[in-house]
Amino acid sequence: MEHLNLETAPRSSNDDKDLNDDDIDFWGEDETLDTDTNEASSHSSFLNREWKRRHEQFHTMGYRDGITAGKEASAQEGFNVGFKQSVHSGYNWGLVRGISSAYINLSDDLKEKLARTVEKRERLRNLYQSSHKISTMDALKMYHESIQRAETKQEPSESSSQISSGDNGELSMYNQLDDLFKELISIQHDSPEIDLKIEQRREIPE
Amino acid sequence: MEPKPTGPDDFLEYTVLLDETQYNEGYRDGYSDGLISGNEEGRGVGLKLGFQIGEELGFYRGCVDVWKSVIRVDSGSFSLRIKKSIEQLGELVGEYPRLEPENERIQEMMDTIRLKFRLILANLGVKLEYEGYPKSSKLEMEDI
Repeated sequence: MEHLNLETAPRSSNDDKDLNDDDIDFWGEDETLDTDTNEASSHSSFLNREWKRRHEQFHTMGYRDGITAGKEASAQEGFNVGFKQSVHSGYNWGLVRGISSAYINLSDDLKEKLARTVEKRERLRNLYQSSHKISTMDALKMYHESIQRAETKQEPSESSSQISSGDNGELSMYNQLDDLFKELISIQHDSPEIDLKIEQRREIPE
Repeated sequence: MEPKPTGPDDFLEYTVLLDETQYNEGYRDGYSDGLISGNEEGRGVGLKLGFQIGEELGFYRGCVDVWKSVIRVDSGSFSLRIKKSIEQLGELVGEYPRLEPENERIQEMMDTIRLKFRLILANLGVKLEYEGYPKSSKLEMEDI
């Protein structure tokens, strides 16, 4: 954002003589160039530049203060919106991790009691292996990409909260995290012994 | 407002006035740009933190769900003390206000949850960690 500051004031140079070195002009280091022009024009062009310089200086000062104040005013709100949007997806992903990790660490005896067939146990083991390979950083990246995909599809309206309340289906349809979550649901559906508090309902938006 | 200035003194005033106008104009431009960029930056941070917090809570919830299922199918598998701790952890996770990132109590609640979780792990004698799992070394040093 900082680079914008330099470009905010219009840069049209009224001073055709100085077209090539107007950057330097701002620093008032070009007196030598004026030696062969007459006093008056030199003076007026100096004033002109001085005026412009001053103009930009104050505009830039104001811009800097303004951008800081503007950021402060909106950052928290943006934070809240982002937080509420992602916390549910993170939670579902965490469920996959927690359930598969806790399961994999049970004794064989208990594993069998919770998943009665070899096939179910195998699925849980696969779920663990797939999810364990994904670090939190990777997961975050995947999630981030899925959001960006969703947002390029539908221009983000101000009410990003709508996205979060409207199921994570559209949002992360092609997401590996989501696939693993679906697998978890499916395993759970087939294994009533595992009693999961999976919140299929979406958070009710306040 | 003063009438249009002419003399050298007026000129100075006029300049100051113009400076101020320039400043205010810049401020206005900056403010509206700042609103947009601040919102975007804040949202980015929120997305990241929300996901991480959500993941951590979901992880605990998932563990609790599995352990509770174990208790259901084989109530003798865990000691009474562990069972109680699991029950409490479940309640703590359930009480965490996930949609209130500004709630003042969340840090304290998260600390309590982490401690409880570690206690259960220690009692069960298992290690459940993943890459990215909050190590909270600070916490360990302070409380253990």
